[in-house]
Parts: sequence; structure tokens; C-alpha cells
Amino acid sequence: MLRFLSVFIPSVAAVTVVLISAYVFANRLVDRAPEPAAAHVPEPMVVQRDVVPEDVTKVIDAAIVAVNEVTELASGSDDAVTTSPVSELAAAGEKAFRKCKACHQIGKDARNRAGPTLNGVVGRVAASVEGFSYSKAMKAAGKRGLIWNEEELAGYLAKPRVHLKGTKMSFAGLKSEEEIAATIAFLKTFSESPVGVEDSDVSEAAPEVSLDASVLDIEGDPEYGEYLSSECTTCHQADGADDGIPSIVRWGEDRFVTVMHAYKLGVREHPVMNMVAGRLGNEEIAALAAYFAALED
Amino acid sequence: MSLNRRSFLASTVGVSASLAAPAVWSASHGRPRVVVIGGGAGGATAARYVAKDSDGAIDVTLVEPTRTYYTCFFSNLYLGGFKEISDIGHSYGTLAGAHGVNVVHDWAVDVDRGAKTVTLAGGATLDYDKLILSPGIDFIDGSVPGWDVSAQNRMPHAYKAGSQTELLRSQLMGMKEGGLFVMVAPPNPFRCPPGPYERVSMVAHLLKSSNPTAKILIADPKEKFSKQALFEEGWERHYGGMISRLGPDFGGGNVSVDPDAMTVDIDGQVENADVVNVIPAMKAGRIAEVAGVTDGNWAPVNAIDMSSKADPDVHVLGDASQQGDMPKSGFSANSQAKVCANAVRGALTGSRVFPARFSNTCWSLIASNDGVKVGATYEATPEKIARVDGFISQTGEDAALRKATYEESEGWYAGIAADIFG
Ligand SMILES: Cc1cc2nc3c(=O)[nH]c(=O)nc-3n(C[C@H](O)[C@H](O)[C@H](O)COP(=O)(O)OP(=O)(O)OC[C@H]3O[C@@H](n4cnc5c(N)ncnc54)[C@H](O)[C@@H]3O)c2cc1C
Repeated sequence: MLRFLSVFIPSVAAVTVVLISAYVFANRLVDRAPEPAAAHVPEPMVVQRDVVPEDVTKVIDAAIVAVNEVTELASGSDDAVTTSPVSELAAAGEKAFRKCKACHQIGKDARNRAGPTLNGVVGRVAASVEGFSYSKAMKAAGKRGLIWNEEELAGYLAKPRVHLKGTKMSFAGLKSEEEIAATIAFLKTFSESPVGVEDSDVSEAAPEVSLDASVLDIEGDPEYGEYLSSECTTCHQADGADDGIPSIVRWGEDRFVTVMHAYKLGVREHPVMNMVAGRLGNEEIAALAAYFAALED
Repeated sequence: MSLNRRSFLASTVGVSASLAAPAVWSASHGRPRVVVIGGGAGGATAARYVAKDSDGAIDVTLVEPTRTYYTCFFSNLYLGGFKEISDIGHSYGTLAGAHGVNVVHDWAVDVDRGAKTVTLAGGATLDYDKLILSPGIDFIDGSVPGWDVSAQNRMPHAYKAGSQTELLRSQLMGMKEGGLFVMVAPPNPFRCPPGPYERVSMVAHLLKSSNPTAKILIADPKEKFSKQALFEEGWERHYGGMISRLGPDFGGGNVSVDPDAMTVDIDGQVENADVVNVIPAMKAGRIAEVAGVTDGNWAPVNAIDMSSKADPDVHVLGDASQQGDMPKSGFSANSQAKVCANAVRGALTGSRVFPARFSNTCWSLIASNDGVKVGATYEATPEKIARVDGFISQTGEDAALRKATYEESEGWYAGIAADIFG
């Protein structure tokens, strides 16, 4: 028994060489039960995807640090929830937003000025505010499905003209990562999906992404959907039973498509779903939606 | 609940229906026949999908000796006391009753690929147009000197679930106070890469309450193992000081056993053990070799449809196959079975064949409410099933996330059981 030294060879490679990049911000919408805001430190689960260009990744890492620091401040007292780090961050963001105010309005009665109104910007499709005349580049981005999720916003706010060549926005960019994180937190308070949405039924959460009608209008091929659905039914039961993994039947097609795109874009976080949805194209998501809609009791 | 097929047909003009006349297979004899050997994660899924989706157009026979299949997945949770043995047992009634699968409880003992027949131990012969093999694993003789299947009662492997798993649990329950449990871990490749380490976790969980001074020793021929950082962190946290592992640097690859004396010789040092779990090196289930579709220990397959590289009318699924990057898991076998079923149905009835896509996620339980997972998606390339993308739980995750991960694994188990046997 003497030789029972604990011979633990630390495994470094796979686990540490990970891309934090997919974990954009700490205070994202999660798809499980809501947690108090103070507990919203980044989930250390890691999705290995290369979705973010290098320079954006740096910004994002720093943003996580920023949120962490605030979290630590707040968690000093037991009833830290009252001064949630999210609202502190958003308050800082309100200050930072002064730089944007010259061109953008937000809040009640906001109107388009030199820039479009920013109500609901987090999670919406690029170039989708009615009545605003966007640059060609921005319109094209919207067509190809660019969604202003936090990742995209972080990249854009850091260096608008690098991130989206041809944008009309004549702004050099926010200098510090803290400022960017704060600004986005502020913008989120005017967007549809607040942190920790009541979410007992995954299908019922407020829509996190507003999809272009052209995406919602794709007519799904239910036979293809039936084949694809077999990847879902390894975990989600086809009869709608929920024993720890949510039911995905009888959602309605639009809802299904929206939620899948939210996972695909990483607006909703769940490592398995981000991975599975990340590989599905628009046609495939439509096919699945058509199939599940056709299931009956 | 069932799919309303008629409304599909009505609403999707031009889509070739699954009931369409056989386009590829020639109608010279009755309905096309599919024989599936092995009613586990791969075989039962394939039988179910071919039968269900072809709506009676294909005659499906499933050959499986046992009447109740005990899943290896969650068998470690049974060892740890989280499940009853009955929780992990499944029968074939629904496959036969609801999907029309002809379930034959017998062993396949021979395959004649020229004549396209399968011979059963009971003497019957089955004709097939397409044969699907999913026989799981067998052990390589002599891989742990001193151990063979005749010793499996003294030193159980518990790597095919059922009576072996029950035996191991009863030995653990009866272990003397402060006794020693030794696991002889297998070399790569083997079924369920995190399986031995989840097992160690569950044994530790059991002993921690019933026999807290007991010790666990792993003799391991591998440098590294699946989810290593996660397991080691968990062992330290939950079972500090109880578990030791001797890797190859410490002789973990040079092990022999004496089942009569209940000793384990690790690199010349003899340990007196109280319970020994020998998990030998593995190879494809023997019938794959008999069928002549193996090359070395495993059966090479084409990623696109899991067809054997030796014979386009034979498909090999799950642990027995050599397919590329997927781990040998129940999830993988189930995923491969659906790709195979789609291709087989297409070949026999002319139904639409869609591109292959594969995925896998393996949950492991380290202690009560401390679940972790690893997963990936895969695609078919001309060479192999190739990994596209993946994720792994991280060390230092908070308790709420670990609990959620465990609860998710419960959901997965219910889901996959329904998808295989339902
Ligand atoms: C301890 C442990 C834990 C595991 N945990 C997980 C987990 O959490 N998740 C996961 O995904 N996987 C897990 N696995 C792996 C999983 O059990 C296997 O990968 C999976 O069962 C492989 O499926 P298969 O169809 O290839 O073989 P099996 O499921 O083993 O099925 C093979 C079947 O073929 C039958 N058979 C064999 N030869 C013949 C013959 N000649 N004639 C007729 N029938 C025959 C056998 O009786 C058997 O029923 C675990 C495995 C172990 C050992």
C-alpha cells in the first residue's frame, strides 16, 4: 500500500487550450433556471468553435474580467442581489453611451437620427429598423443574417469600420473593453431578453433573436426533417416526455426556428445545443420545424 | 403519438414517399430482408428505424440472445447505488409489437456472405439482402495474463452489463473493512473511454459510506484518459486519499493477476486485493470476425453509410466498427445506426437518402449531483468519420451547473432508451 502515491498526471492540453471566445459575456441569457444576477459568473463550460476573429476575442476576454471584478465587489454582502453587477455595469454603460448620443436615441420616444434607434438592438438582425436608410454594407450584412448579439456588438463597437467594412457609422470605436461591456449591458436593458428570463418552458422564453422574414418563411421539407430529427431524439423524447431534457414537440414552427437560431448564434447558451444547432443550416432548421410541427398526439 | 404520414404526403407533393415502390432492390422475392445481429445500442436502433420508417415495406429480423438488455450506460450508477438493476433493463416487446420487428432470441453463429445467409445456434438459417452487425465487444485473450472468462466470477469485468455488474456490486458490498479494490484498466481503444473512471468514482461513492477506510487502486496502461482533469479534481474533492492510479510510468501497463490467490502483480509488486475488476483489452464482437469483415481487432467501415469495407451489403455499427474519430459509446452507436438505417432503406426501397451526420455526448457522474460531459459532432469524409466540433465540461464549475448536468444525463438516458427500444 505504500506505493499508493497519488500519481495524478495533470491533463493540461485539451481542457486548458480552449477557446473562451464562445463565452462572450458573463451576463448572457442562459437556458436553464434563472439565477440571481450576482451568481452570473461565466459558465466554465467551453465550446470549441472558432466564431470570433482574434482581435475580438481579446476584447471579449477582457470583458469577462471586467464583469468578474464587479461581481466580486457585489458578492461581499449577503443581499448582493440588490446591487447586481449587471445593473452596475449597465449604469456605467449609460455614461459611456453619451458618446453615442450624438447620433443614436434609445428609450421611450426614441427616433432615428443620424443613426437608427437602438431600442431592441441586442439580438436583432442588422439593418432592420424601419425607416432608416442604411449603408449598402449594413444592408448586405442583414441579408446574410448578421444578428447583433453581444459578440458582434463587441467587435463592432471596438472598431466599427474594421468589423463592418463600408458602414456609415463614422465613429472610431470605444477604447476600453470595460466601456464596451458596459455599453452593451446598457443597451441590453432596452432589449427584449433581459438576463434570467423566467424559463420553465424553453420554448416560451422571449424571442432572443429577431429573424428576417425570409428565414422564417423557408418552407421546411418534413421528410428531411424526420431524418434530421433522429439526431434530436437521442436526448429529446419524441412523445414530448421531459425527464431532465426539455420537450421539443408542439412548439409551432416560428418558435422552433427562432430558438434554434438563438442556439446557433450562441445567444442562448448550452454546449450541446450550440454544437448541434451550429451545424444546421437555415434549410435544415426549417425542415426540423416542419417535421416537429407535423407530429400529432 | 405518431407521425401523421398521410398529411405529409398530401402536403409535400413531389417528395418520394417511404411507401414508394422499391427502386433499387429488385422484386424477385417477397419483401426485402434486413437481418440485424445484436440488439444493443446500435442494433436495436437500426432495427427500429428501418422497420418504423419503412412502414412494413422491409422485413426486419433482429437476432439477440438475451431477453432483457441491460445497458452498460448507467450501469456504473447502479454500482454507486443511484439506480436499481431493473432501471437499466430493457426488453424487445415494443420493437416487436409496435414496429413489427421479428425478434429472434438466439445467437448468430455463422455468416455466409456469398449465399447471404446467417446461421443461428438453434440451427435456423436466415436470408438477408442487407446484414447489419452490431455485436459490441469481446475481450482479447491473454491481454491480462492470468485472467480469462473462466475467472470472471472471481474477478468480474462488468463491461457487459447485467449479471456481471450485479456480481461486482455484491462483491463491493461484502468487501472487508478497509479492504482494497483494484481495477485493471484497459488499453485504447475500448468501449466508453470515461467508463472505467466513472466506475471508480461510483465505487468510491459507495465505499465512502459503507466502508470509508477502503482503498481503490487503478492499474492503467494509458498515459492519459478521458475527462482526466475533471475526474482527478472530483476524486480529490469528494474522495480525498481513497483513490490512487498507477499509470504506465509506474508499471500500470505491466499487470498480471492470480484469480485463485486474489492477487494482482503490478510490475513485479504483488498486491493482495479484496475485489478485483479486470477490464481486458477489447476487440469487435466475435461474429464480426466470423463474418470476415474485420481487419485486426475491428471492422473497418465507410463513414457515409457504415457499410463494411469488405462487403457493401454488410453494415457494422457501434463498438465493433472501426470508423474514425467517434468514441465507442452507446450514443455513437445510436447515431451511426440512424445513418445506416436511412441508407439501407434507400438501397432497398428507393426512399430518399440524406447526408450522414453523427454526434456524441457522454455524461459521467463523479459524485451525487456532480455530473460532467464531453461531446462532439462528426461528418463523413471519404477516409473516416471525422470530428467537426466539440465541447467539454471544465474544472471548477459551480455546483448548480454540475447538478444541472447530472439532471440532463437522466433526461438523456430516458431519451436514448426510448429511441432504441421504444
Ligand atoms: C461501464 C460502462 C459505462 C458506459 N457508459 C456509457 C454512457 O454513459 N454513455 C454512452 O453513450 N455509452 C456508454 N457506454 C458504452 C456503451 O454501452 C456501448 O458503447 C454501446 O453499448 C455499444 O453498442 P453496440 O450496439 O456496439 O454494442 P452492445 O450495446 O454491447 O450490443 C451488442 C449486442 O449484441 C449481442 N450479440 C453479440 N454477439 C452476438 C451474436 N453472435 N448473435 C446475436 N447477438 C449477439 C449482445 O448480446 C449485445 O446485446 C458504457 C459502457 C460501459 C461498459
